[in-house]
Amino acid sequence: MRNSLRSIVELNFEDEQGFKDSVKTIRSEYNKKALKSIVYISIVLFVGLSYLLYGYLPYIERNFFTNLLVTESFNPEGNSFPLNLTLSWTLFSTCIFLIVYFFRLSQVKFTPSLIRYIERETKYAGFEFIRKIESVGLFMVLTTASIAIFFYIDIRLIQFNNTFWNIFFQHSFFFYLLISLILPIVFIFRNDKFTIKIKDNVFVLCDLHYNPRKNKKYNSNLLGIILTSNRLCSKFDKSGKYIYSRISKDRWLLRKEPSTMSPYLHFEEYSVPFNFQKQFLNIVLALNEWENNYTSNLDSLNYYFSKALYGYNYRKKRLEERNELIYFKFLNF
Amino acid sequence: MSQSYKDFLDKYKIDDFKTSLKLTGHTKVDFYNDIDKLLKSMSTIFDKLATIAPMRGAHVLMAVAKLTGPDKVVNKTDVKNSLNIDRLEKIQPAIEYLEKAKYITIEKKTERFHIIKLNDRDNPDLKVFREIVQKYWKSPQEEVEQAKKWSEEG
Repeated sequence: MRNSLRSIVELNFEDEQGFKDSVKTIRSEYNKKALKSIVYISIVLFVGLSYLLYGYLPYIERNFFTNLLVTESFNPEGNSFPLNLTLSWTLFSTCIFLIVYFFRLSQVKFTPSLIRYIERETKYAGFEFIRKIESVGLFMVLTTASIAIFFYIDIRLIQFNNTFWNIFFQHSFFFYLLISLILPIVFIFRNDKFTIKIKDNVFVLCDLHYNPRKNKKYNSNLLGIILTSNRLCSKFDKSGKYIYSRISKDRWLLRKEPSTMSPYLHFEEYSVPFNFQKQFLNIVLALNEWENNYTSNLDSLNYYFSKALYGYNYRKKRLEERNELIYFKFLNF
Repeated sequence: MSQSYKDFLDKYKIDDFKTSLKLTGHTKVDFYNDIDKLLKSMSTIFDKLATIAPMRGAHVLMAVAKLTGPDKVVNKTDVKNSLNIDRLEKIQPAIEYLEKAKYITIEKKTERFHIIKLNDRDNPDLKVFREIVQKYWKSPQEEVEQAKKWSEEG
């Protein structure tokens, strides 16, 4: 079914034909999106290169012979740099950022109709599907500050000489420029994600496992959504790891050894579109169990993992609790 | 506490006919808890199998089993609500499949009101299935309520 207002197709994964049609739709949307990104990258490159040629060519032409003939006399007109620093930096940093941003966008496999589908499923489960774009905001803030400094340099409100503080400022500013260029790019890859907010500081990240270019044949598990929880605790935290393993085992969550790059534990679940809501709820309830156990289960964990505190009988308490639990279970409480 | 059927038989020596089964006090409670755990595992397996299959048939069957009772009338909307699905069309192919495969029966009272029942006459195993599902399985509707409640707490 096509939504006439925004021309977004409603996906249907309930039967084989619906699944085939939905995969076709996603594939065509993905190709369109990738094509758009390529066009945007080309436009950005064209603008950047045009400015570079327009600004630099007269400068190179003017100075080519002067640089070949070593003259002792200083010619201020010939050697002066013709480009405005503020404009050049703005254009340079924006071009770099936009190229990486659009490149990343072309790799993200979420397409409008798939986003709409997951949004609806999540909303029906009582939660909100959000696209986090932190890189743009960070880029704006960092670049605005650098542009302001370049502007002061251009209008000669800031001038440099060979004192210690001047050299220190120059080096620091150069370092800042590097950071303002690199950090937003890191954010594009690390922080711009699709998330579902559960409550304050608790969220689930969504990633798509799908290769639209290679898989041309029908496969019911072709399209997978990987759900990853927020950080739970350090993988060196024994008590945390114990609770994590127990919950993952009971709920049949994916149990991957955490990578050496990330020293934290996360719950992970895999879903296909038709069971998205069910699998999503599974990870939410695992997080709920985690919160209930990790914060309030210190006594029993001390019993398992730590040396007993002097004068405290953990075993007695545990046996009492166990008996109580057995009788409650027996009576179906 | 045994988690496998084999361990359970070994623990209480059920398949050893020379030893008589004596259940007193704590043993009785343990015996009950062990059976309880085995059935709970079966319910989890039903649920996981239901999420593996590409169609929603298994979940619809579980929802019908959960809702079925001596004084209860189950219709398609009840099943839809129990599975927390927004549109009835989503479960329609699954219902049609289950009816064709004789897992459920559909009694058409009016054009829009259809009563769904588990077909335990043709499939007697569905009786145990219903008992396990009713006692141990949490429907998506119940899970949503639990998740929402927790999300609104913080």
